[in-house]
Amino acid sequence: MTVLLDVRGVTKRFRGLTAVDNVSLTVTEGEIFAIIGPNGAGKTTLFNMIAGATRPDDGTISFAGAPTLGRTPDALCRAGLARTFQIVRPFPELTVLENASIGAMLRSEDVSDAKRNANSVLERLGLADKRAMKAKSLTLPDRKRLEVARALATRPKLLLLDEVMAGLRPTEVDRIVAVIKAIRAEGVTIVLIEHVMRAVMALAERVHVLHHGATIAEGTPAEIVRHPKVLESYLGTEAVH
Amino acid sequence: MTALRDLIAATPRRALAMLIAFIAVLAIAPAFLDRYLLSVMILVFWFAYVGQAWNIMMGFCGQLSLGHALYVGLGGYVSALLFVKFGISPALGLIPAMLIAMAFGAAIGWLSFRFGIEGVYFALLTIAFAEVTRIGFDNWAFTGGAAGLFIPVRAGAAGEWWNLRGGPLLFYYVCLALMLAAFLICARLRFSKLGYAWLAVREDPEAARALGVDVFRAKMAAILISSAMTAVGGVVYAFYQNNLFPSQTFDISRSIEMILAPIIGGLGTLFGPIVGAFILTPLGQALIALIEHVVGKGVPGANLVFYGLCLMVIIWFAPNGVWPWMKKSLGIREERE
Repeated sequence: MTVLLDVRGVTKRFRGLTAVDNVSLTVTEGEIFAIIGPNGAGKTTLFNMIAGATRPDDGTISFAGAPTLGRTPDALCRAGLARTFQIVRPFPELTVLENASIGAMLRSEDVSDAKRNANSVLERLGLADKRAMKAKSLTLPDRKRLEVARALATRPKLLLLDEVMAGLRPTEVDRIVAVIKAIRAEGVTIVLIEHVMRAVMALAERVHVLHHGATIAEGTPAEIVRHPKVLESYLGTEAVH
Repeated sequence: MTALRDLIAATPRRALAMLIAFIAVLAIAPAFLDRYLLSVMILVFWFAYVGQAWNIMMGFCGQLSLGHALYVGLGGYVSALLFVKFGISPALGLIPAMLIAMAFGAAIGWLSFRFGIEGVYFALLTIAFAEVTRIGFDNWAFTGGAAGLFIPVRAGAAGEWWNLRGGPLLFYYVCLALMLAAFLICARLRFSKLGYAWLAVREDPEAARALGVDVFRAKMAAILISSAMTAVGGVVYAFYQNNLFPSQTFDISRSIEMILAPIIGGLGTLFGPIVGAFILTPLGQALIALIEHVVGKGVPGANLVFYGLCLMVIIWFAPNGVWPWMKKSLGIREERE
């Protein structure tokens, strides 16, 4: 098993607050890895550091064997690391197809090739019939799906999904879960931040739990839901069903 | 040529027929226009052309330049100086004119885009560059300083079209050709990979970056292409007017005048700058003529006041510009997919 993402002793402070405190984790190729934790646990900050959007104060991150420090998000995306935003950021005045095409440009010969690739990604995420709509007129669940489609269109090796299931109905969650499984089946490694435990349980092979920026547990979903510290600080005794 | 063929194939039939009819009318129009109307049409084409060039930066890439007069002035001065001092034809002078404008564009772009100067601050920087350059030319004896630079009109040279020496008819067709060429270039760019990168940068630079778009490169490409195109407009304008004054050429009012057509016509659209120029310029010229008739002398800036009023009215009724509204009324559908 090759290590695709290696995060070592990463720390990020915002003024007095330590948002991420000495976190280490490794993600091997082909797995689905979940990061969970209560709001404000530092999950998104950790994501931003992995994606090159925020610079860690301490520690190192390497992706596909090369350190990421000092590389820009676009350079990392070209290297095969794609991310979605927790607060979705579609290109509002562009159509759904144009949104996905911009992601697909990265690995496409020309524009028509990119549109073809974008179309097939939209197909997978059930957005094909909305391709001519402007992104600003989409509903939130559709925007979340567009966020995934766009990132996926860049043909990443590693896909970082930041709460793509928050606010979705259970049937929609099941649908995204199926899509994520299919993406992994094609060899894409997935790291997801998620609050929807139903999805985490269904998807993740390993779960990393953050609390106040620090790691409190890591293990399989079954181990995590019984972990006393996790139960105490995050899930509560009623959380698993 | 394949690009042109693709473009034609992609354009709705109805729009294509209207476009061809429109170009045909413009091509034969000089036969029916007097000298004055010809001069109005020259300005229409010219403003459509430079509006198109500016639209690349603002409409496509979302970078507000309020100093595009800088590139007009540089283009004009470089080609005029080469012609007046060294006898170099503007057909050749065009190239250094573009290169020098691009060098200024690169400097502005590098300073802003490298150091994250955005929005209002970027706009201020573009104004500052135009102003500083104006002051520089005002005090530079070689270029005639504030007293201006004049391109001599020799009786025998009237037919030298390759030196841009000729009457209104020559400039009518030169400016018409520029307008059409700019339209084709912009259409080509808009639907290229670079064009989509520009739109992504315009809509959300952070999201664009996350999708692998090199935002700095996309913005630099926009300012380089836009400054080069605008400089060509400057060359033609200088040889049409036969004179250059720093206080007019580089003035911010010129920069503002240049950006009104694409704003009124429709930012980021291909027809917007053309439609805007066809609406604004004739109205502005008519107003100037009217004021001269009523007051007995010209009132400088009156057309700008009038443009401001037009802008308010049009933004009230068609906030996205006239073209998107016209497109609907003419029954032209959105682009095909």
